[in-house]
Amino acid sequence: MLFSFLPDGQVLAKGPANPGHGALECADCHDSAPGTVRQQVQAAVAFGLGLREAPPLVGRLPVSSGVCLDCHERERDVHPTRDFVEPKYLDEREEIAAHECLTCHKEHSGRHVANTGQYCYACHQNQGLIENPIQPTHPALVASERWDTCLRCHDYHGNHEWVEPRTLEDAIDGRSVLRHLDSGAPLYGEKIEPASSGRTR
Amino acid sequence: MFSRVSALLGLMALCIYLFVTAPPPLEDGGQVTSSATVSIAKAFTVLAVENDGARKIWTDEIVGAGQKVGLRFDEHWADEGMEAGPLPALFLAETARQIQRISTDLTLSLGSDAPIVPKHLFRGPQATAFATLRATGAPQFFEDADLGRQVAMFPDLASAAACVTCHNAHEDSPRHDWVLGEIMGATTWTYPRASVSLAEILELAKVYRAGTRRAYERYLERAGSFEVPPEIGDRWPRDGERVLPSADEFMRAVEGAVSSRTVEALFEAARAR
Repeated sequence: MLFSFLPDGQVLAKGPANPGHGALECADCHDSAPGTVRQQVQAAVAFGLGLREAPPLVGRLPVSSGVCLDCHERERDVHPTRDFVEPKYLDEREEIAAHECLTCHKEHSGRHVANTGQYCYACHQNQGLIENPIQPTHPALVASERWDTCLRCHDYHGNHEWVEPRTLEDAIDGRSVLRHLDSGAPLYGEKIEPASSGRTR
Repeated sequence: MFSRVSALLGLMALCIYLFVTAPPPLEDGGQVTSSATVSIAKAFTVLAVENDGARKIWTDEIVGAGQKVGLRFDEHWADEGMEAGPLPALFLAETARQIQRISTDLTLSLGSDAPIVPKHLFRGPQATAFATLRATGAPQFFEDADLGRQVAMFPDLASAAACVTCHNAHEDSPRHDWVLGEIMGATTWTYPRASVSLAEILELAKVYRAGTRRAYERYLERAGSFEVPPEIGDRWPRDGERVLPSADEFMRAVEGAVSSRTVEALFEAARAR
């Protein structure tokens, strides 16, 4: 907490900023915890002495998806994180925390997507996929667990002017996908810019 | 001797800092004091009243009357090049999407135990609550133990012939024997807090209305791109022409239809404090 007084918050960062976030200050994403530093210290001491039920929030708050969406609101999103707060998605939340932006876009990792981008199985191995005239077929890809191929055709958020190819031969090559996950290099064409959302956070 | 005095003074200062001249202690859990005194169930009920009214006007006045004057409505309405508007369930889905763009807290969704789209199938606690809802017809309220969010489920009825005929005829529908008036599914609302203030309920209703307006505006944008766009103004399809009410006109009708029931639900919430 004492380090909160340091002028350059980057000293405290867990790692390098993700692509596009280099110019952000800590406070751009991390809201302050309620109360003054002294109140927080006193509450922490009280908790330590058993005089308080819950530990206080101290320093800066963890970042929620709502904070991300303040800047990254999309006109169109085929996998909005908010969908996954519905109780029925318990298994998917436990498996991949699909309701949190940070599951994939883990900040301070220096990467655009901090995993392999092969999370589609969590929902789509059970829910089925639309059988449409593509080669190989979706059921065939699922049966052979080719989860590495999903992002070669599908824009996960669906917020780009992207026409999905019909065959893997016409799809984006795997190396380009990995480069996109690493650096955020454009992969699916022009972004569809959102209209003003008037978010109330 | 001097060091002992210093240590004693230091200890006293630390004790004062930590315990004595304290500012007001933080509330347990880090929450600030609020005037939240109304059960979230009351807020959900207000929202359900609003939603029922908007859905009825969309279903009867836009879809039902619109089809009679040549307007089309389709499950693939949002696809490029489609000259159609959203069917009732999809208008609700669009409203839900717009709500989520406005509020980071409130969510709305539509599901069923026999949905056309598999991802809309209720599972887990929602399936259990829906079984009770189907048996009793009563809304269900519970807390999602995983996220600690408050959940409400309200019956979604086959209120128009189009609901029944479309679902019965759809090749992906697991059921083909729906009847008018039957509970086809449920709307699910979620919110992170168990208690709210009356002001917060009004804010939630405002968010719902804004979401409805944006969903309708999105349809108007699509209609404006039709090869022969319908005239948009103060007339309705029920007037017998291929026209659409403006967003202002549509929302006036929704507000006129729901406001008295919404106010009654608000008074009910106030009485329950």
